[in-house]
Amino acid sequence: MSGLIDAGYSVVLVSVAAYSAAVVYRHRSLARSLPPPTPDAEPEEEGEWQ
Amino acid sequence: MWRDAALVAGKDIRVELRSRVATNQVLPFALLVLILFAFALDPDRGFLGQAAPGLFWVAVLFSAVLAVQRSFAIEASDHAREGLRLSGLDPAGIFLGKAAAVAAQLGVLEAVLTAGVVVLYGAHLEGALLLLGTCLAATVGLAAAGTAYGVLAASLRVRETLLPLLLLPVVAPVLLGATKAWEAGLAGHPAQGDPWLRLLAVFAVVYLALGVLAFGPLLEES
Amino acid sequence: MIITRRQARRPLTSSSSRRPGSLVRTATGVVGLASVAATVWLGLWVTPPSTNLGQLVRLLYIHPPVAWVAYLAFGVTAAASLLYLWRRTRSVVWDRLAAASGEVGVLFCGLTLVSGSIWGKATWGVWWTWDARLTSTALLFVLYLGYLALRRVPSDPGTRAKRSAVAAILAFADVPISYLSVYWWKTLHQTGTVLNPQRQVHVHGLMAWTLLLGFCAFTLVYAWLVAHRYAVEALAERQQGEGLARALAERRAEGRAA
Repeated sequence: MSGLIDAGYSVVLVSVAAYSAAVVYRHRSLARSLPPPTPDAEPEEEGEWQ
Repeated sequence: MWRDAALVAGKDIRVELRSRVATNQVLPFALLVLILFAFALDPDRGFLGQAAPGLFWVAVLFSAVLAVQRSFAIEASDHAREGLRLSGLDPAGIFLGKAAAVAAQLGVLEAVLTAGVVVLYGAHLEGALLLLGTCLAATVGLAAAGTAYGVLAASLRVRETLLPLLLLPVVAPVLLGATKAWEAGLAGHPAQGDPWLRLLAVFAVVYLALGVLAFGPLLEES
Repeated sequence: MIITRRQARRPLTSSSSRRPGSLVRTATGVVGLASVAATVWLGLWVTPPSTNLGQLVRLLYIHPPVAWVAYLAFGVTAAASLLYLWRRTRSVVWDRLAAASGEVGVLFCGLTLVSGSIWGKATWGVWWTWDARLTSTALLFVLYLGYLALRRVPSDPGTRAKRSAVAAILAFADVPISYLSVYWWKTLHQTGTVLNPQRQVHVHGLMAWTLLLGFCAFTLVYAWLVAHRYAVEALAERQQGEGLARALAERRAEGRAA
């Protein structure tokens, strides 16, 4: 019984984690391969708010 | 719109009458499915008679996929699609016409399959009114949903494999409703089939309306 | 700390939409992750076993929230598709949102089926019964698998967007009909439906709070995933466009050299 409960939790958590990792990785690699749309606007912001 | 629908339906039916693809390929395929079911479910144990309504409608469903594919294959050659698009016909009319042609072919197919079920599976036809009503509503629903998905997939290179995946889950309620209505009819309790008949009618109306609305944009874009 | 930074950045939203947007996204992700962890901790170790379900009640804290996210995601896909098709609100935003939400929805729908099946094995002793809810969820899963397959067919972005939006509407119209048909199938023609554990559980106190937390946690994770998936969709479109521009420029340069 408790084995099934663990299985249920782990299937859900592992799948969501794997999908998230895949999406975030894809996002990162795409963002790195393309130049940001407004690269000059960012450093100023950082200085202003820290 | 109705005149355009009649024109397109007449064209499609004339093409089918001359090419005889529906009668020479789709119809034998449906009968073959009936025979294959007999191999899968041992006829001597009486399963076939009990399962006859379901098997009948599964055969109709598979044939409907073929009929829809055929209906858009005749538009694919010789740039007939462009002709249709430039013809100035109302897109809603084109949709209704193509759906009507598919429905007419499915109607003929169902008549032959009914005979097949009676002869091969030993089904007793009772409650003819319910059976006929079910056939009518289910056929209109199948033809409407099939034609809407047909034009959706028509311009894709993978249409042969994609159309069944898109269409069959959507028409699953038709299979369920028509099978239950036929079971009620064959068992001699037509009253039990009424809610299913209403469900089939609602399905047909919903997909006719969606098809009328969506066919224009789909035809011009793809 | 993340929350305060996000709030501090709010006034900037008008001048630069990218950074605050990604901060909100990160904050959603962190809060979502923390609340999922809290749900698991409460669900597996803190909450008491139920009187009539025993330990099995612990699956209650993840299965319904996951199912809720699946339905929410498909609803969002349908709404976004409608907004895309309506001429006055037509924007590539809705197409990307529909794509992102549809994909996340299929993931959660699949997890609903798997976790439901595991729960079924524990309570009913079988992996699958043709219960109305199970069957209609399975149909939904296949319906949206088809939607994703259609989206994956390469074609012109505008055509694909319109075609996918129509397909999403056609599929969504089927949801109530198929649910009703499956529901009738199981109630009109079968005496005694399968035991439904959810109707028997008295959810109260800490258990109710844990369940509520589960709903919030998975909804936040959904929002975070959709935000990332949306960005991937947008970047992929840009990459495609720039790749085409680069290839054109190269061919032109070759032509001039020749």
